[in-house]
Amino acid sequence: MASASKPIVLYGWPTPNARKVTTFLEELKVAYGLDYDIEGIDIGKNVQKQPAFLKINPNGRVPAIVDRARNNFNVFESAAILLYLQQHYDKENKFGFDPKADPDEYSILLQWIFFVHGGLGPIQGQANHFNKYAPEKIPYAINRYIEETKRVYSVLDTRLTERDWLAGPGRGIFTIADANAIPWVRGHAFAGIETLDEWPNVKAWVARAEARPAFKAGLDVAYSK
Amino acid sequence: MSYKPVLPIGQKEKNTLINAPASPYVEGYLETIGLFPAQLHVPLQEAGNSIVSDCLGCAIGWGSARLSATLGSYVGDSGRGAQQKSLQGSTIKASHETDMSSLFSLSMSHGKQFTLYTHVGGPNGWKVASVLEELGLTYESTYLNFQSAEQKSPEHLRLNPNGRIPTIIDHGNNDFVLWESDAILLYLGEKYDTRKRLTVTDESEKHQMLQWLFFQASGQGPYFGQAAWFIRSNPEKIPSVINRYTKEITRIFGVLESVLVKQEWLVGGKMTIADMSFVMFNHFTLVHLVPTGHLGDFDFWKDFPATAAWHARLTAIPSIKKVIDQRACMLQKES
Repeated sequence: MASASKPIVLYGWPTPNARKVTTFLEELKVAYGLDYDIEGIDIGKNVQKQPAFLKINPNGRVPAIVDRARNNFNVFESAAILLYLQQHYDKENKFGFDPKADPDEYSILLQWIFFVHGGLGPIQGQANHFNKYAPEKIPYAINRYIEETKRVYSVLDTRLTERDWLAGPGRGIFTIADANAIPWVRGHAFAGIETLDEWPNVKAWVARAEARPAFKAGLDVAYSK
Repeated sequence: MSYKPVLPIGQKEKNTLINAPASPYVEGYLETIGLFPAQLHVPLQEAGNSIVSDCLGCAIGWGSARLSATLGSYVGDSGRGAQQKSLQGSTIKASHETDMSSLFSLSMSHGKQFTLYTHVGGPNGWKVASVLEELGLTYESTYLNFQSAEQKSPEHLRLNPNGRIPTIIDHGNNDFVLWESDAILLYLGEKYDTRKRLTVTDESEKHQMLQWLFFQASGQGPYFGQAAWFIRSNPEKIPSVINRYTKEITRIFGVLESVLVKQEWLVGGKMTIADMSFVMFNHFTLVHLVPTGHLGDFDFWKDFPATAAWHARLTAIPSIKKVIDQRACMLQKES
């Protein structure tokens, strides 16, 4: 039965937030053999605001998932999706922490996830908008969001000093906190930030993630319409 | 004397009136801590939990340094262990050991369990304060001055490399430091909401709660924040940019409306930290942004009636009302 072997359906499009989920799903595929289906929601044609999709996500955005193995339970908000998948499908906690067994590590993981979800995504998204999409070129706005994106990169760079990954003891382990961030950070050029040279730890971290075959496969997932 | 409970709307069935007539202990300690009976929030007694610790929780929330001595003498045995004391017709069970000890292991000189780095005007610090209040946790607020960039000082950056507020230190947990307001809410809920009043326990509902918190953290906060910046703070008023963000404010209220028209609360059929996470920025928008006219003929009750009702229920919760009033008072003093 399709749902037994592929419980998760991902509704997405080639965006940074959807890539947060596809990269992690590919990691789960390698680690546990978990497979998934994808449905393309063409945001260029505003499919995400149609009633059928609003039933899945009243916010009308991608990504969203439905879990056919758990009564078609649906989740929207990319970071909430990552936490959901980690809890239900990463039983050995290879990519996260058990909130009961490791409560402080879990809280720190959440902190970095919220920081990126609230403090990088929307901000770099505004940089993208004013840099590439806004009909009017407004220097103040472009500058404001690029500068704030750079500031966030600096915070990440400080965190990644003598660390390989955002969360976890010692130098850290690859977790959903990294999957939550890297799809955005690697899109820096689109926001108007040419290179990551100014943040060497961040640059190395992105390269480190892209060197993982599963993560790389997740970045390149294609959608049919 | 009987105590008028302060009932959070929607939770009537969970609270009850406790009559504790003429008890020298109870009256004595209430006087000591300057609590007026009408302010005493007396929640339902459940097995393994303590009326006393809940009373204290609220009492501590209102601020008292003399409480520990009074409580110590009241329950005896340094407040540890489960004991029962009878109180002129009311039975009060002493709480589980963990609850009691966490009330008293306060290592900072201010004697409160938490240090909260926050800001007078910004919404996110008050968001955390409202949950601390509602859980009856003690905290000392340090208001950082953004004009002199105190939030970017080396001392604060050492705690919070992002240099924003809120940041908390939990002196009841080895001075554990945490930032990002919703991560803090989850931490407080997980660790200190022992009766799971403000959080959910059902597997699926936990995910829904996370979903709403992430939506608030990325979809409401930052966008309402950009609207606030361009309407109030940016020297140049740029219409297309203001429009972009005020349109998004309206869209977000619409999303909330589409859900709240069908249900009273975002998750779990009760008020949770998910609902509480939205309040301060919604309040900020209604009080500071709508009156500027930049949201056109925005009419909260007419355009988003279910959301307006939900917001009214939330702002009537004493803990939330308290922080809103405190913020208004401090802003007035500042100006």
